Amino acid sequence: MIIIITPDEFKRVSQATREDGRAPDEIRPLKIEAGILERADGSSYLELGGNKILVAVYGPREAQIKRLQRPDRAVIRCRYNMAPFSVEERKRPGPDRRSVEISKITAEALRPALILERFPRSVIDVFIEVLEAEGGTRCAGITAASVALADAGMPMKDMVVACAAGKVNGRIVLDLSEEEDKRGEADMPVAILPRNKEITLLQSDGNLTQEEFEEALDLAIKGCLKINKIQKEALKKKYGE
Amino acid sequence: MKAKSGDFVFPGDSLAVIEEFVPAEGTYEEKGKIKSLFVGEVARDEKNKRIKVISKTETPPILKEGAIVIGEVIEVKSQRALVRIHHVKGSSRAPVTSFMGAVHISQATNGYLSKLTEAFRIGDIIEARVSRLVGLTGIDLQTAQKSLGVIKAMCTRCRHFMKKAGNNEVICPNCGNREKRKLSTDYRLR
Repeated sequence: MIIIITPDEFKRVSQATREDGRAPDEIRPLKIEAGILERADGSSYLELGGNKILVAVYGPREAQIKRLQRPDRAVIRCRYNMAPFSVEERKRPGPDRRSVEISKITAEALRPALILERFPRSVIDVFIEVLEAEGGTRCAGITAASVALADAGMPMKDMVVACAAGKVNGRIVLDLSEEEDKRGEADMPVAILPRNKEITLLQSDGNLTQEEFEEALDLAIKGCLKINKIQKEALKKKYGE
Repeated sequence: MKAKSGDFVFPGDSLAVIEEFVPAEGTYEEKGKIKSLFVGEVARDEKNKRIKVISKTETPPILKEGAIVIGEVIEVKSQRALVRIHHVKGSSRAPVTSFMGAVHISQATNGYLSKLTEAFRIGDIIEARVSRLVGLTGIDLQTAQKSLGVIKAMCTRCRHFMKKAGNNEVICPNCGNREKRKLSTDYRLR
């Protein structure tokens, strides 16, 4: 696997009990770039640990499928796709049960931030391509898609940011890696609108007690706020002074 | 948070309260606060008490009164020419959905026109100004200006593109057919 952006500072083994040397409330090294595709209306590229994700946004444009059109608002359509080479063992190309689900929940997670009423009868296409996967791709996809939508000049009430929390070896930890996700007891992706902390996505896999759930949710929101800062920096780097 | 002119803002950033300013382009109002819709720069108009956000990213083209559009004539009736709008001038992006506009015979030229077919024919590419906008379907266009009108005409006999032959006249290089049009000064084929 190609590892590009893991500087030494992230490899310290101080207070860490996690395999990759992270503290329980630490996210993997994150890099976001906005507006990197020439022909898409908006785009972004994100690296989160070993994840590499490319997002392109097209539209609002005319919905070619007439039954999708809504007379009073635009429709957001998402496609989450994993490249065949994104995982250890070759993934059969094309949509499967998992990617259809992730496409649906991504569109639903992004929708509350967008002002769709401004573009009646049109469709907004979001393409999320996972080039390399290492756990937490759905969260990384939502985070990157939100940057790409802002880059496309879509009117938005807020950015959308997502981060997972979960339980590994009996401890609540932030931003699970692939290994932690496999071995861990629970995984909980959360997407929020960071300003008012409105939750737009909440999924849960595994078992958590009520206290653990609340702790994980708080931790995920904290992680989201950290990621939101990096989202803003990416946009500022592209469009700021 | 009070935003100054020139501040760099993100979607959702508070700019002012509703008592101070009128929210203009690129902003929205929520619970008495004016917030930004785009990644952009704040522009405060102290005189008119308006606050807006100038987007730094390219935004989807929005049809509004006064916009110049490029379209294709798809039908010429006795009073109106129907135009499918393909492009809004000043934007590199396609319109957000298919729009149909209409040029009324009185809005086609400055002078009197006995028949609308003397100004437009089916298949012509025209440049026009949006003069009135009612909802999504009521788009009135006008071409009564030197820089507006047909920018590419098609021969009604053989469907070849025609060359400019006179002030408001075009000639077909294929069959020699002469026809009348309301030509724009931007008509390129000479």
